[in-house]
Amino acid sequence: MERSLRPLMAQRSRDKGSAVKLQDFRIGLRVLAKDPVYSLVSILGLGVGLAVCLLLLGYARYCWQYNAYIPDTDNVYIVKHRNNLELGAPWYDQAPLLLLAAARTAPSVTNASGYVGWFPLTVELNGQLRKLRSLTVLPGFAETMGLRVLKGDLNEALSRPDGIAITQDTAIRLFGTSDVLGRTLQLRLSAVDENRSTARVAAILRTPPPNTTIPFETLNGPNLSLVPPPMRDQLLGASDWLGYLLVRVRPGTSLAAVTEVLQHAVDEAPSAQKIPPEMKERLGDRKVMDIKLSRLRDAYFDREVANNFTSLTVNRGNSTVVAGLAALAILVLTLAAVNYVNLATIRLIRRQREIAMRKVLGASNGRLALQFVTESLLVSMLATATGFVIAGLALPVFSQLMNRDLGTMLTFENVSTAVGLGVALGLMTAIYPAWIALGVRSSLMLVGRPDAESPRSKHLRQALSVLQVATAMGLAGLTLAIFWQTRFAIDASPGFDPSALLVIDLPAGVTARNEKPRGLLAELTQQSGVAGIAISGDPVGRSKQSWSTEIKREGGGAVTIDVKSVSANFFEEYGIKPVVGRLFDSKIYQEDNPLPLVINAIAARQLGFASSQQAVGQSLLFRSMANGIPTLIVKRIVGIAPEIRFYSLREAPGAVAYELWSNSATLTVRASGSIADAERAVLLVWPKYFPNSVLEMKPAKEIYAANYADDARLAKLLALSTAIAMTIAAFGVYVLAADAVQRRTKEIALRKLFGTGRRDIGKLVAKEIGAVILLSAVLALPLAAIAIARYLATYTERTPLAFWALAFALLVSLITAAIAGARQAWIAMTLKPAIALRT
Amino acid sequence: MLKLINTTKQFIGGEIITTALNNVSLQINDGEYVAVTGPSGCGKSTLLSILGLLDIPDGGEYWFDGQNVAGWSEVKLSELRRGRIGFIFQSFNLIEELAVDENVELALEYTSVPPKARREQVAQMLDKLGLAHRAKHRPSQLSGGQQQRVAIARALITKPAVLLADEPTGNLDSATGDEVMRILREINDEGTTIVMVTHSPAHAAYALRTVSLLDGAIAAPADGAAVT
Repeated sequence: MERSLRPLMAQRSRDKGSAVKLQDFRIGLRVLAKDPVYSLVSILGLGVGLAVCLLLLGYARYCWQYNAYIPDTDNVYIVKHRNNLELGAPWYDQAPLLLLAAARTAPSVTNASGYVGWFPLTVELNGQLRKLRSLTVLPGFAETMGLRVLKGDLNEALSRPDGIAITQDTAIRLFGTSDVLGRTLQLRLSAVDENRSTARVAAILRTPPPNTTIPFETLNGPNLSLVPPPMRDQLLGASDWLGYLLVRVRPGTSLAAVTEVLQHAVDEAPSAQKIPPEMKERLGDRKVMDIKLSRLRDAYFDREVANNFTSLTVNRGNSTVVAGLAALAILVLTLAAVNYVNLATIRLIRRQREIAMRKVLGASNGRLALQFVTESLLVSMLATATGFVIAGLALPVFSQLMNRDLGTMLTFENVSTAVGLGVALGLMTAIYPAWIALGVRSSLMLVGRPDAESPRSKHLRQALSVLQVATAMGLAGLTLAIFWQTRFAIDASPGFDPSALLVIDLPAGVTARNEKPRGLLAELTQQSGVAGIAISGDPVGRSKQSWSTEIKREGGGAVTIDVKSVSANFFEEYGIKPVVGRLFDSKIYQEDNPLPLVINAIAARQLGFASSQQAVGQSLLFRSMANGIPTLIVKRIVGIAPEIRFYSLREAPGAVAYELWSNSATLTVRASGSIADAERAVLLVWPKYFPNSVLEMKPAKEIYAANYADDARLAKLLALSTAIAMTIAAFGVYVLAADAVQRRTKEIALRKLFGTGRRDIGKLVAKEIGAVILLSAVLALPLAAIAIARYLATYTERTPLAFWALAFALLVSLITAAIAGARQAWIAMTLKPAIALRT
Repeated sequence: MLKLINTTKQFIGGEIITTALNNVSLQINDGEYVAVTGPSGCGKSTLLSILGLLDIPDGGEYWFDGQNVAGWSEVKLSELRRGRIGFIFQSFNLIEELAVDENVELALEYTSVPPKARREQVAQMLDKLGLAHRAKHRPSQLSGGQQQRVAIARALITKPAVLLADEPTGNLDSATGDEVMRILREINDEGTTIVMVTHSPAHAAYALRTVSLLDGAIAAPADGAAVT
C-alpha cells in the first residue's frame, strides 16, 4: 500500500497539549521519587524558606495592621501634647481632658472621646483575685471607636454606676461562657483596696484583636461607683488632667484647623495662665504646651512616644525593623528559590536526552514549557504544604520570640496569600529551567552529542551560588554585631554592682508609706538573707516614674533637670560612693528631709558651677508644687554622685538631681548573701502583707537588660535566619562542587595520569569554591559594614568588637563551604583515572 | 518522497568549521528501504537529522512531502514532523520515569488522539511486538532487545510514513539485532519508507538500496536513485 506523506487526518499533526495534563504531575512525582534525597533537599529547602517568609511577613502584616480593626481607622486621630517646661520636652500620646469640649466644636470632627487607665480593676471570682485590663471611657467612646456590641446595651453599661461592659473572651475566661449578660462581678480598684463594689455585665463586646494600642478586657464609665467622686469630676469636667483623647474626623478634613482649635483651648486654659513670669520668659516664643494630632493607625510605630513611661503599658514597634524583617523574609525566600532553581537546573541538564526525545516526538515549545512549569508547581505546592506545617509548629515559639500574641496570624486571608505565593514561586522558579529545556537541540541528540550546559548557564548558576553565600555571610556579620553590641550594653556597668540587688514593685495604688508596705519593710529587713531595702520611684534602668523640674542658682538661669526621688539609704544599698562631698546617708539624714540635694557632675556644669567641688554646699532654688501651685523651695547640694546609668546605652547621660522622698512604689532589696536567699526571704514575707497581689520581683540586672529586650530578640531572629541562609548556601556550595567535579572528571583523570597528587586535586576543587567565597565576601562585607554602622549609630556607646563580626562571618562562611565541598573534593581526590577515562 | 538537492550542512565550533554534508543530492521514494553506510564522521547521522526534520541544511534544498523545508523554523519543522516521521536510536532513548506503555503512548500525547483511543492503540502495538506482558515495566527492567522493540513501538504508534533508524542494532547482540532487522523488514513490507544508518554490511543488506557516504558526500552512485 502506497503511503503518502500527507497526514491521513489533518488534526493528527496538531499538538493538543495546551492544557496541564495529569501525566505531567505523574512524571513530576516519579522524577522526585527517583532521587529522594535530592528531592527532599529541594522541597525542604523551599519549604523552610516559605515557612520563614510566612512567619516574618505574617508578623509584618500584624504590625502594619495595628488598630485596623477600628472602622475607618484612617480618620481617627490621637491628641498628643508636649510640655515645653519638661526636660527634653517629649511628646506624649495624652492630652488635657479639657480639650474634649473644644474638639467636639472643631470643624469636621464627627466624634471626640477619650479614656483613662487610672482604675485598673481587679475582679474577685471564686475566692481569687484577677487583674483586669480595664478602661474608664468617656462619653462618645463607643462611637469614636466603632465598637461592636455582641449583646446588651453599651450605653447602659457605661452610664450606670453598677454597669460594666466586657469582651467576649474575658467573659469566657471569667465565667466559662460568653452568655453572661446580667451576671455580676465583685470589683475592687486594686488587690489591696478594701473598697468593693458589685457591677452588672450590661454589654458584651467583640474582643479587640491583639494588634491594637487600645487593648481592653472591660469598659466602664466615669459613673461607676468605684470611681472616686473627685476623679469623676475631673473626668467629666474641664480638667487639665491628662487622658487619652481620640478624635474622629470626616475624610479630607484639614487637620490644621482642628489642631488650631485644640491649641487655642490649651493656650487659654487656666493652668497655662498660672505659669510664673520667669518660666514664660524662658519659653520665649514657645508655648507652654504644644498640641498635635497623630493618626491612630500609626500609633504602634510612633517613636515619639515609644519610650514614654505612659506608653510602656502597650506594645510599640519600630517601622524600620519591621520593614527590615519583611525584606529579610523576601531575602530568605529568594535564597531558597535560588537554591531550588540551581538544583532543578542540574536535574534538568541530566534530562536533556528525554527533552530532546520529546521534541523529536513532536512536543511543541509550549507543551514542553508547560510540562516543566507543572513539575515546578508540584514541587512548590509540596514545599508550600511543608512550609505551612513548619510555620504552624514554629508559631508558638515565634510568638514568644517576638513577644506578641500572633495566634490569630493564620487567617484565611494570610493562608490564601501564602498559597498564592507558593504558586507564584512555582511559576517563577520554572522560568529558567524551562528556558534551558527549550534550548535543547534534538538534532545533537541524534548525532550522539548531547548538549552540555552552555557557558552562560554555568556562569549564571555560579552567580546564584555567589548570591547565596554572600547573603548568608552578610547576615552572619550583622547578627554577630547586634549580638555583641547587645551583650556589651547589658554587661555595661550601670555605675554600681547590680548583682546583689532585687527589685520589687509594690501593688498598684500602694506606696512605701502605707501601712502594709511599712510592715513588709520592717519584717523583710529582719530576714537573714536581706542586708537592706531602699525605696525609689524607679529602679535604675527603668523610667516609669520619671519627672523633671526647674532648678536654678540664686540669680542664675533655670535648668530643667531629671529628678530621682529616693530614700535616705538609697546610695548605701546600691553601693554608690560620692565623687565629691557626701551622698544621702540614713545615719545623717531623716527620711523626706526637703533640704539636702545630691546632683551629678553634668547637673553641676549646667547650673554654671566651675567645678563639682564648687557646687557642694551651695543652695539651689527647686521648683515644686504645693497644693497645685508652683513654688520655689530651697535645697542645698550636699554632694556630687557619680554617673549612674538610668537609661539605656542609646541615650547620652544627662543632668540628674536626687531628693529625699520615700513615698514611692519601688523597693530595692540588697542581698546579704546570695540572691536566691534574698528571693526566698521575700517570698516568705510578701504573702503576709499582700496575699492577693502577684509579687513582681526581678534581679536588678534583668531590669537593665529589659532595655535591650528588642535587640536580643532581633539578634535571635537574625541568628535563626542566618542559620537557614547558611544551610541553603551550604547546599549551593555542595551542588557547585559536585558539578565542578563531574564537569572536570576527565581533566582530573588526565592530571592524575600525568602524576598530579591528591593534594593538588583537592586544591583544584578548593579553588572553584574559594572563588565563590571571595566574590561573596567582596559583595557582602561592605554592605554588612554599612548595616552594622547604621545599627550602631543608635547607641551612644559601642562595642569595639562590632566590625570584627565581619571577619568572623567570613571565617564561618569558609568553614561552612569547606564542609559542604569536602565530600566532592574527596571524590575528586580518590577518582580512579582508568575508570573515569573509560566511561 | 524525500528529495535532497545539493544539500550542505556545516557545524561551526569556535574557529573550526566542519562540513558534515557537502552538496549531497539524494531521492528516496515512497515505500523504499534505504541503508546509509560509511565510516565514523562521514555525515550519516547529520543526513538522518536533516531527513528527519530535526535540522535544516545550510545550503541546497530539501523537499519533504512536496515542500522545500530548507530555511524553515524549528517550530514549523516540529509541526511537519509530528506524526509523520518515526525515529529509532542506537541507545533506545526511552524515558526511565515512564512505564513501557507510557513510553509508547508518549508519541500520541502530542496529537489529538483521545486518551481512550490512545490506550487501545498502545495495547495493540505492544501485543503486535510481543511486549504486552511488559507493559507496566520500566525500561531498566527490560533487555536491550526488548527496549529496542519498545522504541520501535513508539516510532510506529503514530503510523508514520517514514521511519528513520540510527544504528538500531548498535547496542544489541547479533541474534537480537537480526530480530530487529526482521521487524524492520516487516514494517517496510507494510509500506513504510525506511532509512537506516548502519555500520553492519549484513544489516545493510536487508535494505533494497545502499547509499555510501564518505567525507560528507555520496561515495558511490546510489542504485538508479541519484538525482541528476
